[in-house]
Amino acid sequence: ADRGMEDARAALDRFVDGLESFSAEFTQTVRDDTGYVLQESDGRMQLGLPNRLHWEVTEPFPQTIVSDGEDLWMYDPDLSQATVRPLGDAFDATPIAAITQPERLDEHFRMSLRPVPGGDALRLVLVPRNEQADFTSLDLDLTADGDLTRMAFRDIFGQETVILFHETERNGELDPGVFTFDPPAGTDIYRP
Amino acid sequence: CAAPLPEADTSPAAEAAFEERTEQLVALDSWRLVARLGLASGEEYWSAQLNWRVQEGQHVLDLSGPMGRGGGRLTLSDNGRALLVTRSGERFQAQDPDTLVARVLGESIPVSGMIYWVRGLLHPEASYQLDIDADGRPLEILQSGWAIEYTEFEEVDGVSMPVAMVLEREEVELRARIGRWQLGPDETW
Repeated sequence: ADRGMEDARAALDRFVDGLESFSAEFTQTVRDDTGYVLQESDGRMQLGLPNRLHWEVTEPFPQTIVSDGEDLWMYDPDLSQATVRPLGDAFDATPIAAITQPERLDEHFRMSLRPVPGGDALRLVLVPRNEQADFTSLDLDLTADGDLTRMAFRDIFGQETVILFHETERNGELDPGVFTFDPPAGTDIYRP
Repeated sequence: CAAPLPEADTSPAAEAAFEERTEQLVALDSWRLVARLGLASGEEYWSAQLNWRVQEGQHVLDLSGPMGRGGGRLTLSDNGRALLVTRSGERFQAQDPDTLVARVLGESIPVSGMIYWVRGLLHPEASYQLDIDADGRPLEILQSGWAIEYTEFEEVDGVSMPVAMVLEREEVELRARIGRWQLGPDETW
């Protein structure tokens, strides 16, 4: 299995080496421990390493999360409410950190490998070393040439979030405004 | 923009329709919903996804923040005892859910009232003021110090269920948007 682990680390390195930005469309499915689908949504994400993010899901509940590296905005269009708070370490020990802070992977996670059924991707399974982390394990599916195709994480209640990436682009052109958020008129803004 | 709110109706027919709707819903001891909550109190704001499952009178409320993070699981047994387990594994118990949620999440979420209000029903043991529309759907409930305003409904198995509501008391405002309703038991249980 070490060969596999070496290949997986190599694939991960190919993905993170020289990674400055990553954008993708995705479908996100959240299931509870009985398998009941809580949320099925399409979304878009743009990531500007190390900590700029634009994450948007559309239904059933549209939500937008934007970080410009300093402040973190979370916007609920349905409720026309938004919060903005200093980013601080909000991303640490989150699934996003596995991609944005690759050099600290071993520090944050214990890693193992699991075969991907029927796929050519390699599945790295990351278990947070920090017991207080909100998720119990995180899977990263990477193709041999270092393309991230799927991310999934589970929590202590058995709730599982699966994110399938498509239209991925590494170090692509990002429009500069993507990491700033200006709330639409009429939005109630909170700064906890 | 949202359709104008229907007029309050005090006719006997409207009241009969409200009674009938209540009986239909109270008869169901299994139901579930998935909702988005936005709680604002003073400067504090907290938003979460709520997965609320009721099976034969036992309630399981899963609250999670963005990307399924934060929050926890609140379980209510039919004698009212409440257990809250946070997502990082801490466990808290209490005789009633409202004190438990207030102590742990520091927010006053009226869970024991919401068991009824979320379905557009009156809490059976508290005095109330009620506005209903011609079809017997609740427009506003005043109960236990809370004002609950219903702004949108959806037909679910022939019953009008609320999909948008606002609960207010002093400087706390809880907005709820319900994305999925299910009345009756779940086939996957």
